Amino acid sequence: MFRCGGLCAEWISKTIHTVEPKNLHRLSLELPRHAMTEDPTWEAVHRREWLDLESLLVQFWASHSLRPKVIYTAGEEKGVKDDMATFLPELTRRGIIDLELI
Amino acid sequence: MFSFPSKRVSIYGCMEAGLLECLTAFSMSFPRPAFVTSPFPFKFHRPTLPKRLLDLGAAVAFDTRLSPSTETAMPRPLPPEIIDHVVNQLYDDSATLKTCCLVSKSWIRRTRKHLFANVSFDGLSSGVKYWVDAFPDLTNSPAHHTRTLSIRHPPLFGSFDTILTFCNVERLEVIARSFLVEAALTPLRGLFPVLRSLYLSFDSLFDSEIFGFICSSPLLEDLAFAFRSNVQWVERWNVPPTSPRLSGSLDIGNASEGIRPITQRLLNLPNGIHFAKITVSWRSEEDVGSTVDLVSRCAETLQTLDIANLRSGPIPSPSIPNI
Repeated sequence: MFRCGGLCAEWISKTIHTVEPKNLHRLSLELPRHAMTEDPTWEAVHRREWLDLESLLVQFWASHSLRPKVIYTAGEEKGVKDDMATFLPELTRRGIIDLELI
Repeated sequence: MFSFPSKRVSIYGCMEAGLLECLTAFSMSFPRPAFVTSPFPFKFHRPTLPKRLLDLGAAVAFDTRLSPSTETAMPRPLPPEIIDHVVNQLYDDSATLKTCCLVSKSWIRRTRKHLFANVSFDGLSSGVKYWVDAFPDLTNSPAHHTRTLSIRHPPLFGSFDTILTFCNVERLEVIARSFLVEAALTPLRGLFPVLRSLYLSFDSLFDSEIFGFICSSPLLEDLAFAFRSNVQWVERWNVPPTSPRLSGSLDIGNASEGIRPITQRLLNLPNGIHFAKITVSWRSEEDVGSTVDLVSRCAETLQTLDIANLRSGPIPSPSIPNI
């Protein structure tokens, strides 16, 4: 379970890289609800990090059928899905990611 | 809705309240159902049951040929397993449990099991005194039913004998305050022989006191810490000769001053750590390194790693060792 306090995603990728794939059975990301695209650092700083993370998650899906889960602690489903599509567009498009609202 | 094979029902034995409801519902399902019963049980219920049924248009007949033996006709209590099952369903409904507790003597024990499963004492509000006032004979108090004990603002002065009776506590929560630093946990050592889960929230506490308590709880599995600044980390700590196996969960996600000090103490425990779940929060680069140490030490048993990254900026790479 990775709980993100901000938009940075590099730390997640780095940590996942150190995990033996066969030992990883579940992977959850808890994201804060915010209008990420309104954050001025998003496009310039963090988009690349999220694309790298997504690429890694797609690999896990392809090689180990690992379905990641995104957890939001607040927000309405539609807005959250829009956010998720921005964070992780490929996973969302392929429908290989689960969403949980708590 | 009830489904009866016949419109004629014979009744033996005691009329329990639930059966009365069934019969009432049955009588409403048919224009004029017939109940044939032995007269014996109705002797006890004649004022209520027949009247209610007759009011609903049911025919009630008394057939002496159906009269069962005295033994079978005596009112019989429900099997204790059934009552236990019913009461257990009410475990989180204290209002109903309190009512059930008044049903009969035999219901007291089974309801107290749930009513006193969680007990909380506050050192500032004489909580223990209220307990002693309510249960002056400590040997007969319901303390042995308590599984979760919360102590706020320890120490609980003059309460040793009372706390001693909480011998089956499996989860202990201690919320300490800074001005009672030195005696928050030490008096509690060894009082909870089956303790499995410990939650500590404190502003300031000696680490020797924390780990002295941990090492005095041989069955301890789960640890959770929430602490703010001013923890008194003792440089020269006498490591106890033995420690619990610690094979459950470790939660140090609410450590505002960082997880390193407590991690170092955990890593030095004589019997090691074997956690299946670790929850941490990263506030500094040092926390990342401490997580590495924890994960490395629990590599054989760790199933869940929960990380909250509260820091900004890049993290060193490589970070976590192979899990």
